[in-house]
Order: sequence, then C-alpha cells, then structure tokens
Amino acid sequence: MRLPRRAELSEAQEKFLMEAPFDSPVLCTGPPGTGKTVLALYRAALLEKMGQETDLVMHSKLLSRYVQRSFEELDIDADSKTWHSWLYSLWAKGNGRFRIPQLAPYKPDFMKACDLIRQGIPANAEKLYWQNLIIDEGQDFPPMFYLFLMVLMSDDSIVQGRVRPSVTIFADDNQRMDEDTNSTINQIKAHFPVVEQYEVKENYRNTARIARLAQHFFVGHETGVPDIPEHRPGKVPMLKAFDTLEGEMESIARWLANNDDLSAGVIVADTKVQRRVMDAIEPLAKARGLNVQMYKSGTEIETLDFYTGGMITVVCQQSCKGLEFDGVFIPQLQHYQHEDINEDFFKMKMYVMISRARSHLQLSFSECDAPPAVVRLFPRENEEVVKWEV
Amino acid sequence: MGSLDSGNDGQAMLPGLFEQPRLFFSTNQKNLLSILGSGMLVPAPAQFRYDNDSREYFGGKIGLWKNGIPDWNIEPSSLDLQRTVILEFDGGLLAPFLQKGLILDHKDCLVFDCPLPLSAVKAIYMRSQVYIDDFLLRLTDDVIADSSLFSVILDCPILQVPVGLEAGTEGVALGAAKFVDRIGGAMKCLTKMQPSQPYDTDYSELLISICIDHFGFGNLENGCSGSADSITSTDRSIVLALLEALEGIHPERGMDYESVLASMNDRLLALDEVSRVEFATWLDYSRKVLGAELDVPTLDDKGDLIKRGILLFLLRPDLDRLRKSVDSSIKPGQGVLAVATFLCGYFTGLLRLGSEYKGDYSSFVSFVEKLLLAFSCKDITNIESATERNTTDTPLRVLRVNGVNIWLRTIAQNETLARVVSQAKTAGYELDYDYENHRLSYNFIFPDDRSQQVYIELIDPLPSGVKVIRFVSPCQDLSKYKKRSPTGPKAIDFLARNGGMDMYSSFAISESLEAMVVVATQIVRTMQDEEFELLLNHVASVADQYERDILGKDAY
Repeated sequence: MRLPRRAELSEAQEKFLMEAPFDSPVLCTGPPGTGKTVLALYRAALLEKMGQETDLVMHSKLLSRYVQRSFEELDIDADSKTWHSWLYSLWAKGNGRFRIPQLAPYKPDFMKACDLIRQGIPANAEKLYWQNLIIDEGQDFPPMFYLFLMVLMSDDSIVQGRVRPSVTIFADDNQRMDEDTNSTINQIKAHFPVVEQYEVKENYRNTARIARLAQHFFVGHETGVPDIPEHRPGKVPMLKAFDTLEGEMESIARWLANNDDLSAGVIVADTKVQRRVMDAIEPLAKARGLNVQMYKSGTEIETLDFYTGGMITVVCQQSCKGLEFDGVFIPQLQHYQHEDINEDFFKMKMYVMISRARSHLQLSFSECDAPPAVVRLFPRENEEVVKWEV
Repeated sequence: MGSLDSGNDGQAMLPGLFEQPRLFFSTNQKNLLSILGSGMLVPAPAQFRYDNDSREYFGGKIGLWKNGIPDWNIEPSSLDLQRTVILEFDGGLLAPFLQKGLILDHKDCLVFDCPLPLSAVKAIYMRSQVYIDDFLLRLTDDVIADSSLFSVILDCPILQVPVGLEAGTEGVALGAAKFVDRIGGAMKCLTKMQPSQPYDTDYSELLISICIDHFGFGNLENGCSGSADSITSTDRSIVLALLEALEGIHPERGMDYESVLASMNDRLLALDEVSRVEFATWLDYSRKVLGAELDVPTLDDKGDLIKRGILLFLLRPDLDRLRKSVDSSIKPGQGVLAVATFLCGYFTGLLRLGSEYKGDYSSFVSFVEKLLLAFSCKDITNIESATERNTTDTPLRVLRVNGVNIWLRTIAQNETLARVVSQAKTAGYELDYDYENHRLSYNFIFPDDRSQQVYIELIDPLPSGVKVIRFVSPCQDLSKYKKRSPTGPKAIDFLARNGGMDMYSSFAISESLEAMVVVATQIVRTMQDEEFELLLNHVASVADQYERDILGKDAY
C-alpha cells in the first residue's frame, strides 16, 4: 500500500493537501467515496513528518481497524481509535479513576464534563491535552462532542502555554445515521467559528460507469452522491445469467485468479445464501491458490484481511457498508426481494452494494427459468450503464 | 518599478541580485508541482493541471523576463499572490533551445514555444521561508525537489508588462513535451525494473526506436540493432496501433481495455490478410482472458514475446500491479515483462512516476534535459546503440540520439558465468566476458605459436534447474556455405571422430558462430578446477588439431 500520487488525487484533494493549515481547525466535507479517509491518512503522514503526534478518531470500529492497518502498512506512527476509546482514555489520563459523567452507558454527558473542566476538577488537567486530532466520519459524532473539544482546546489549565491542540474534521452531512446523536456541518462549524473549510465532491472510489449505475439506485438528496468521475470511465458493469451457482462462482474465482493482486467482495442477500456461496466458492478458489473469508455481524474484525491480494470476502448486504473491493460480485440476485418491501429501501441497499466496487462489478443470478423480479429495476438495454448478458 | 512584499524571517539579501541580466519566470505553487514533477517547464496547453500564470501574457507560451518580473496587478488578475513562485533560469543553459524554441526576443523578455529543462533553473523564489518549508513538507512522492534551490525573494524589480507583444504561432512544443514525458516514462521504468541478470531476448531498445519513429521524429538513418530482426511486421504494426491508441488516454483516467482493443482493431484493418487473421486470433483470445472468460496463461519467454507483453500490459496497466505480476500465477518471463514495462511506463509518463523511478533530483533533471536536447532542439536524423564502458570500466548499453546519450544501462554479468570467470582465475586463466552475447572467451596460444579460440556459454539448465555450460571451440568457418550440414563421407568422418576413445567432446555445428565447432558440456555446480582446465584444453586441442590436420589452417 502507498499513499496516492499527485495525479491520482482529484484537484480538490490536491488543494486540501497543499493548502489546509496546520495551525487552525480544518473541516473537509464531501459525500461518501470522495477520498476523505485518504486525506486523513495523508494529513497524519504530514504531521508525523513535522514531528508531531496524531490521533485519528472515527465512529466505526471497522473503519478504525482499516485505518490502523493503513498506518502500519504506510509506516505512519499514529493511532487510530474509535471515538469512545479515544474519549474515555483521554478523560482517564486527566481524571484517573474519576469517570466521565454519562447520560447512559457509553453515552457521555458532555455538558457536565465541560462544567467539571471549567470548575478545574480534573486532577491532571494538563494530560487532557493532545497535539493533533483527526476526526473521520465527523457527522456521526454528537454536537456536544465538538463543544467538549472546543472547551478542552481553549482551557488554559489544559493547554498550559503549549500550542493549541489542533483538530481536523472530515464529515458528510448526507451520511448522518441519527439526527439526535449526529452533527450537521453547521453544528460542527458553530463550535469552530474560525474553521478553514474544504470540499471534495468527486467520486474517488468508483469508476464513472460503476458510479453511474450506483446513482441509478440512489434515492435521496442529490448532494448525497459524489460527482461522477467522467474522466475515469472504467469498464461497463455486467448483469449476467448463469445456469448454476457453480458457474457464478467459477466466474468470480477466474476473475480474481487473473487479477490475483486485487481483492474481490461477494455481497449476498442473507446468511443462508452466504453459506451456500461459501461452500461453492471455497474449492474453486483453493484450486487457484486464492483465499476466501466470510464477514458478518459479530465477526472479529482483527481476523479479517482486507490487504492481501487474491482474497475473496463473502459478506451479507447488511454488513457491507464501509467496505470496498477492487471487484464486487453480487450473485444470486433471485434471493433479493423488493416487491413486499419499500422499493426505495431496496434501491438504497443496491446503491450501497454497488458503490463498494472500485473497478469491476458483476451482478448475476442462476438456476432461474426467467430473470428475477429485481432485474426489472436495472436500466435496460443501455450498455453504457450496464451490459446485459441475460 | 515596485516590489513584492518582503519576507521578514531574516533571510539575507542575495548579493548583486539584479546587477546582471537574469531570466525570470513567474508562476505559482500549483504549477510548480507540475514543473518539478515533469522535470520541465512547458507551454501551458501541455502542462498537467495548469493554473493561470505569466504564460497567459503569451497565449500559453513561456515568457522569461529579463531582470525583473511582470506586474501582477496589471494582468492576468486571477493570480494567487500568496503562492507566487519565481523561477530564475541560467541563460547559458538555454542556448540549445534558442534556435527552435525562441519565438520572440523583446527588450524585456524572451518568449519560448518549447519545453525548457528544469536543470536550467538555478533558483526558486517564494515569499518567505515559511512558505518554502510548508511547500516542501507537503510534496507528494512523485514531485521531487532540491531544497537548496529554494530561497526567499526580498526585493525584485517589477516590470511593466509590454503592450502588444505578439508571441508568434504555435510550434512543435506540445508534441515534443508529450513525447518526452511518455518516452521518458518508458525509459525510467525499464531502468528501474531491469533484472539483475541478463536475459535472452530484450526488445527494450527496439521498442524505444519504434516509439521514436511513431511520434514523427523519425527519418532515422539507422535503426537499433539487436533484436530488430526477430520482431515480425505484424507485431510491429500491433505495437504501433497500441501506442496510437494509448496516445489519447490520460493515465489517471484509467484504461478500459475494451476500448483500447477496439481502437487497435480499427487501426489494423489495413493489414494484409495473413497478418489480419493473426491479429484477429490474438484479439479474440486477449478479450476472453481480459474478460475472465479464460484463465490467464503463464506468460513466460516462450513464443511471441511482443504479443505476450501486450497482454500482460493490458492485464496490469498499472506499474504497481505490473511489478506484483512477477509473484503471481502469470509468472512473466523477463523479455515479456520488459515489453509490458515499456508499455506501462510509456502509458504512465514521466510526470506521474514516483520517486523510486525518477531517482534523485539531480539525475532526474539531467535525464529530462538530455531528452529535450535530443528531441526538442533538433530534427532526429540518427539513432544508434552501442556497448561501451564508463570511467569505472563498467560496461554500459548506450542509446544515442543525434549524439546525445539518452539512455544508459549498466550491463550485469550473468552470475553463473561470473562464477566460471572466478573459478578460471583460480586455475590461472583470465577469461574475457562478452557483454553483447553474454559468453566467455579465451584465446589459447600453443607452444608452436598456433592459437585457438574457446568460448564458454550457458545452455538451458537441466529440468531440475541445474546450470550447465558448454565449452565451444570453432574449427571450420561455415558462413559461406548455404548448406551447413556435412553429408556423406564427411559426416561419417565426424561421427567416427566423435566415437574416438580419447574424445571427451564432440563435433557439432554452431548457428551463432556459423562454424563447425568442438563442444563439451559441464554442470557448473560440481565442476572442479581440474575439470575446467581439462575441458578448456581439450576442446581447444581437438579443434586446433582438426584445423591443422584437415584444413591446414589456423583460422581460429
């Protein structure tokens, strides 16, 4: 793994990289897949070059694990933590056994915590200091968390004459999961009035053709999807019919064998299909010297390998958010139901699945007399968006 | 005249900054990234991610200002004053570019319509040391800089922009800039990925030669030697069609192999019928492999290296991926990998290569300067390759265009042959290493003053991988014979000689030496000094005896 070179960055990413200041709060916004995490890694690398310590904090345990591995691969001396881990550990440094006030388990009462700081309660206030904090998925954090950070950054008993702690926040207004516990961009900015804001809008993850197919399924506000990277067309996604499940799996194994430095994600409808797919693909993969792993809720993230080439990850659709693969395969489409459920809900699921693919996408079904009903939701006979081989 | 804001960090005033005629170019940090990344300053339309700078005065052409910089406050107005950058050029180093590149010589400025080498930049000025440090800190891996060139500009005369300058018509600048970027990328990648061990068929120089011809700098008096004869006209056409197809694709846009193959197909419609069938067969096969309808084959150095190399490139058009292919099931041979590396480097271009390919600043800018001298300053009339030795007596393969050495590669000794050289030395024999053919030679002088040449060459290893050498001593020139195989009584005579009780070698025909030879084989790993000496002497004696007794000559 290496950090992207200049030509591999979008112009907006390059502007952030070359211009974002280190001595004042920075906010970078953009829809999912616009390369905000890459910029977070770059920023951590630059801060390390400056001889500074950096913590990278994010909401998702999976993404935190991914970033920590990236640090290791890039030989960057920085820590990646979930925000709970970072917050509780920082509080403990300044307060010993005196725990942070909570509204509920793992739900800190930031207002009370701020009051305690203002009253000078922390026994070791100077240990509540950090040099650089980079926050990814900043929209997933509660507004009061930012108030808490601002209080810590401006409290003289904490700073004690040192350079003010720095904060860089990457966030996306459109990805808020819970309006009560998440923050809008404006709420974040309200706590950092002098923040320098940058925006990345171009799709960094997908090729144009994959992005266009994903956009076909997107249901929501237009600002929620990144700009199509028209300059990076890529290969047209395929919609294929196979006679058998083995035929579907054979096509996946062959693609990865021909590109054995890349990763393949197989996204399936449910755990039942996941088991069948695993049983079918494992011998085919083994015969070609490829590896297969299964990921579902509850899987220990530490046991997963997202870095080694030639790895097939079989994952259920509800667990695929936050993952990305060079090639994504969505087999057994006949097991996806959309008629008895909200169609928009199904479409958004399809949007999330499709947008996991970096450069190769194949959707398929097998063992059907006729194409499954969900196929009707795909753009028809338009080979610029999806190539039908049904 | 006015002045730029001065930095206040204590940087000393440069002595005599503007006492002599000097050449300045005004730009900004964003453009400086492209200039450093490509190793050259190019007219605006040829630059990657151009952002308005002083080239706007001349429709994108390069204006070098004499003894000052233009007044930003007049035009163009969209400049980022905070990130202003001034490059100072060494006028003497630009002399070779005057003839073809200079399109205007005004009392205040020189205007060029050609790429200028970064090696001619002797200083890079920014507003303060803070700006310099910050800029250098943030550079990505593909942008290399020499920090010693950077300094703070303290007091710089501001020139009123001359009104009504006509910069002339557009020249060949764009083509030259793009070509240097692409061919430079190919050369740097070939150099970086050159294996430590020499290999049988190396098309690198041939491909560079085809590439030079393709871009219209041709009119070559003589092409590259070496493997030129072994590439078919169909393969040459396929390579050219691919180069043309790649010309219009920006690497950062990614490559869609289907459109590349379709483009190649369109360009090759005019092939003769036999070649057309050959190409169509390959095209169909490649589409199936690339579309994962067929398993990717092992792409070793057997068969058609050019087509195999192209398939490997289409499978892995990214340098990182190509490098990993060595450890994949594809297992490309060195010759196939070199073809794919050339194409991948050509496709990627010099600008986009990382520092591991570009090397240090000094060698990088020197490399680009040579390319510009060879391709931008003159019409190409001559390209040649040769094996030479540098000042430390290291053998080099040199590719020379119009007298400029544009590509030098050190030639490594084959490690098995190197071991034989070492063993021979222990036994008292000084063998010569032939870097052209990768074989050893020794010239025997017998007591009666007759001489005999012996070659030691590698042959295919045993199935278990055990390395084997062959001692070869020529005894009869066959170059003038159409039919080189002995027949009738002569053949029977050779067979009889081979069956002699004191014969530890055999007579054979050598195609490469075009001669009847005496040969003996030996496993290298188990070879004792006495065995080496015995075989060396034996083949020489038998060959010399044949020459003397049968032919009455001492030709070898």
